[in-house]
Parts: sequence; structure tokens; C-alpha cells
Amino acid sequence: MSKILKTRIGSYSYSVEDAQKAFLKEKIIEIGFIDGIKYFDRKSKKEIKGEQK
Amino acid sequence: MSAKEYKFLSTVKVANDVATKYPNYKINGFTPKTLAKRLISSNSEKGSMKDFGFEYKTIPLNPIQKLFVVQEVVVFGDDIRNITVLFDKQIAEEYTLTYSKKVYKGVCNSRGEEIHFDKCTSYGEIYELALANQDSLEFMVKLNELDITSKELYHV
Repeated sequence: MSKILKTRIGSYSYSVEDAQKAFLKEKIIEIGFIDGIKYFDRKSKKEIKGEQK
Repeated sequence: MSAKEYKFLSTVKVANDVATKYPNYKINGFTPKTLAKRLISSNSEKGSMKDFGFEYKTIPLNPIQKLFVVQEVVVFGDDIRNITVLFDKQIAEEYTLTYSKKVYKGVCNSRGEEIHFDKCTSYGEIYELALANQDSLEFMVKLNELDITSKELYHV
């Protein structure tokens, strides 16, 4: 039996394994911003927009 | 936009067990970065993200507008020697106090008595003492403030 929890809520599925992969590269996230409107990833210098993928 | 223009910098630390605590983070279309943004922008209930393994610290990035210049100014003459330049006023004052004590060490007044610069506890105090005894000094140590948006140099 897999150790990975796989669940489905609505049309989304998720697993601990997927989350582990996603967060593996993101242990420390540095964000720069000016006035609380625009936020930028300091590494890539790209704006972090909305809450979309 | 370059990093130097940021007014604030947040460092978000993601816990090792975040995947276990929050495996369904993608349900609302989040990515680790947008989650971090949500956390620092206070759009999440206070402390709730910490339960999922996120912690953060925000610091303001103050642009440098002033420089503090430590100088040796010859008492009888126009010569000025720049010793160093510092960014922080408190550090500059402490540095100037230490530097002054070092270079004034052993200086005696006109009566041959040693002037106790070593007992001064602040830059202001040692500068006043040097000013009062400038006839005994070859040069005075001064801390000047330079506003980089101005042409003027001010004595601290």
C-alpha cells in the first residue's frame, strides 16, 4: 500500500508527494515589495501575481 | 524593477513538514510563492499559516541617504584627511570616539598635564574636549554628515 495520501475534493486531487516536490525548491522564499500592492520574487525578479498557479 | 527599489523585504521560511501539514495547498490555485505572498500581505488569518509550516520576517530596506565622514582636520591650516566613510550614525560616532582616543592618546596641555581623552564616553564629549584644547593638538578628529542629495557637509 502506498504511503502517499491521495484524496479528491471536487475536481482537484492532491498528495503529500506532490506537495513535497513543490516545496522542495522553496524552503526560503524572499519577496520584495514597495507598498503592499506588487510583490516580487527576489531570485527571479518576477512579480508574484494573484493566487493562481 | 531592481531589488534596490524595494521598501520592504520579507523572508518566508517554509517548514520541512509543510507537505504533510498542507498537502492540499493547490486546491485554491496556490503555489508556494503565492502562499508566501498571502502570508506576508496579511491576507491570511493571523498565525494560521504558521500552523502549516510558514514563518516570515519583514524588514524595511532604508535607502542610504546620508554618509558619515570621519576626518582629521589640521588645527592651524587647511589640510583635511579623510579617514573613513560610514553609513550608520551610531556606528560612526562610536568609531570616531575610538579613533579619537587612539590618536589623542598622550596629548598634554600647555601646562604639561595629560588631557584625559580616554575618559570620554561619547563622540560629542571628546569633540568638545578637543575643541577646548585645540591649541595642544596638531589636528582634530571630526565626524561630518553628508546628505548625498545635497552639496553641503554638516558637522555631527
